Amino acid sequence: MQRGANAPRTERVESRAGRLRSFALAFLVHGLLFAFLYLGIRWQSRPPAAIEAELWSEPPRAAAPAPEVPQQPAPQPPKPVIREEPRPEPEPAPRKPDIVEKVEKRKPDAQKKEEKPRVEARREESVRDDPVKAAAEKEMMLREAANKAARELASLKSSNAEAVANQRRLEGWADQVRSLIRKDVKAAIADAVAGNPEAVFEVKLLPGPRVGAVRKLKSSGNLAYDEAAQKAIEANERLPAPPAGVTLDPVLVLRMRPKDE
Amino acid sequence: MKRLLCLLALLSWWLAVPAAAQMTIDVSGAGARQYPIAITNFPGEAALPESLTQIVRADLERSGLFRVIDTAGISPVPTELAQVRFAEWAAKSADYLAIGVVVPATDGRLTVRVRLVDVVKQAELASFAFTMAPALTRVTAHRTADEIYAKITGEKGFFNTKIAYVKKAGTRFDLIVADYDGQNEQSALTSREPIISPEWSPDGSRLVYVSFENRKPQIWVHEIYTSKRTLVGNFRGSNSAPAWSPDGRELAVVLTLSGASQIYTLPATGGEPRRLTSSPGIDTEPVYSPDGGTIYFTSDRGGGPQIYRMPAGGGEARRVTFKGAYNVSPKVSPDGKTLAYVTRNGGLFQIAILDLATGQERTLTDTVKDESPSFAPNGKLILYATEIGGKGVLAAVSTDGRVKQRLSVSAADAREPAWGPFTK
Repeated sequence: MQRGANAPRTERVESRAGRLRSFALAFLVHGLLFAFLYLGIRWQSRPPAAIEAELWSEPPRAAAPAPEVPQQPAPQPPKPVIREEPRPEPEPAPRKPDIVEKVEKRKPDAQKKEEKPRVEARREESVRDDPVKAAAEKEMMLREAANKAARELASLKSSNAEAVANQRRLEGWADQVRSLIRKDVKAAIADAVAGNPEAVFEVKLLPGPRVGAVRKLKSSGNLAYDEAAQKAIEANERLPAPPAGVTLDPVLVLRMRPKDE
Repeated sequence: MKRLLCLLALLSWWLAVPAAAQMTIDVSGAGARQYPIAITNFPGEAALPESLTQIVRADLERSGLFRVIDTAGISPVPTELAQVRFAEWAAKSADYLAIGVVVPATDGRLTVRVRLVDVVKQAELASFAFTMAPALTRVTAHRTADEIYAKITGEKGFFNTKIAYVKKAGTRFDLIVADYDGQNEQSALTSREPIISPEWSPDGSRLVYVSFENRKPQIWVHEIYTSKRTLVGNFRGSNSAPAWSPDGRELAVVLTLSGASQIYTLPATGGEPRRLTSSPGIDTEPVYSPDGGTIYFTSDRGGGPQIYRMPAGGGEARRVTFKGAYNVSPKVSPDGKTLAYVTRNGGLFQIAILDLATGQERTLTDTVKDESPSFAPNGKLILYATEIGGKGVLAAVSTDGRVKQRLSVSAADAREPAWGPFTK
C-alpha cells in the first residue's frame, strides 16, 4: 500500500466510496433477508375461505353495555410520545462540544415558550438540568392526580346509588332463582335434617346466564342435605334472564336451608 | 412517598368498574312433597272379583305423587264422614283419607260410594259413586283413583289409559295392548318377524306400526276394536317411523324413495306421499306438536344425530338440541311445552327433557340403555323402554325427575312402548 501525500486523499476517497459500498451491500443483504422472511411466511397465503354460518335461532339481544370506565389511561401515553419527539431533534444537529449544545438549547427555550408541547418537552429537558424546576414539575403532577382522584370519587358515589337501584330490580330475579332451585331440593332429605342449618354455595355464572361451577363454601353439617342442595342447583343449568340494564356479578352466593323459616 | 401517592392516585381508575353488587340469594325449603293419603278397605268389596281399594292404592302410589298410609289399627272402619275420628288419622300423618262402601244394586250390579276427606281441614273434599258390573272392577278402581288424583293435585288422572308395546318371546313378536299398569294384556298382532314403532291415534281407536311380516318394513294402520288392518305404507325401500297428525287424518312417515331416509306425509287411509324434507343426510322419527303446526324430527344434517323442528307443511328446519353429540327420538308433551328425547351421555343412552321455552335441558334417568320415550296423556310421566339384566323392561319417570319406577309386565322382553290418550 502506498502512503504519501496523496495517500490521505485516496484513502479518504476510497474509504468514503468503500464505506458507501459497504453500507449499500449491508443494506442490500438486510433487504434480501427481510424479503426472504416476509415471503417465506406469506408465500402460502390464500384468500380466507368464506365462512358460512347456519343461524339456529335469533341472535341474542346484546346486553346493556357496561357503564363506561372513565378513560384515565388516555392522557398518559401522549406525554411520553411528546417527550420523545423533540429529543432526537437536538441530537443529530449538534456535533459540537457540550458547552455549545447547552447554549443552543437555552436559546430555543426563550423563544418558543408559547408552543405548549414543546414547552413541556423543554420543561423535561430543563428539568434534567434544573432542580428547582423539577420540584415545581412534581407539584403540578400531584395536583393533577389529586383532581383526577376527586373526579373518580364523585363518579363512584353516583354509581353507588345506581347499585342500590340495581339491587332492587334484582330482587324479582332473585325470587325467580329461589323458586327454581327450591323445587328441586328433595323434600324427603330436607325433612330428615335436624334443625335448620345453613349450607353456603358459590356459583360461577356464565353468560346466558348459565350455572357454571358450583362450589360448597360452608357445609350445613348434614352431608345428605349438602348433596341434595348442590344437586338442586346443578339441575337448573339455565337461569332466568336478569331484568334489562342490570349486569350480574359473575359469582352468585346461595345460602340454602332445608326448612322454611 | 409523594411518588407513591401519585402512583396510587393514577392507578385509582380501576375502582370505577360497574358497581354490580355480588348477589347473595337465600333459598330455604324444598320441593313438593308427596301427599300422604290413607285409603280404608271398603266394607262389601269382598263381593268384587278383586280388591278395589288395593288397585286404588297401587294407582296413587305408582303416580309418585302420593304416599299411601297404612290403615291398620283403626277400628271400626269409618264409612261416613261422621264416623271419622280426625285425631286418629292425623296421628298417622295422613293429610287425606278416602272412605267408602260397596253395596249391591239392581241387576247383579254393585254401587261403589266413595268419600274423600281432608284430615287437616276436617271436611269432606269430594264424594262420588259408580254403579258397575263386577267385571268392571279394575276400570271402576281406576276411575276412583282418577277422581282422587284430580281433586288433590288439580291435574287429570291417567289411571284409565292404555299402553301398547311389543313383546318378544323367542322368535315370536306380539303387539300388546294393555292397561297402563300392565294388566289386561291383549295381543293385537302376532308375528314371526319384528314389529316396531307402534303409535296411538289421537282418539285412541287405532294403532299405526311398522311390521316386517312380509320380509320388508311396511306401515300398517290397525283398528283396535274391530281388528281391521290397512296397509298404508308399502313403498319401494323402507317405510318407517310413522306419526299421527293431531287430527288423526295424516301420517308423517319416513320413506327412502329418494335413496336416503326422508320425511313424507301420507293420508292415514293410504295414498300418495308428499315429501317434506330434502336434506343430504338422514331425516327420520318425525313427531307432530299438539297444535299440528310443527314437526320435530331427528336429522344428521349437521354431522351427527340431533333434533330439529320445521313447519308441519315442510320448510326451513331449525336445530333444537345443542347439548351433546347424539340426541334422537323426539316426543312432544301433550301441552306442547316439553320435548322428551334420548340423549347419549358418555356412552349411556338416557331420557332427557327440554323445556322448549327456556331451552333448559335435564336428564331424567340414570340407567344405561333407555329408548322410546312416550308421554302420559297428562304429561306428568314418561314411559320408556330400558334394559335390565339383558331383558327389555318398561319403566316410567316423572317429568320433574322425582319419581322413577318400573312397570310390571309379564316376564318376556318388552320394547317400543306407546302410551295411549285419555279415553272418553
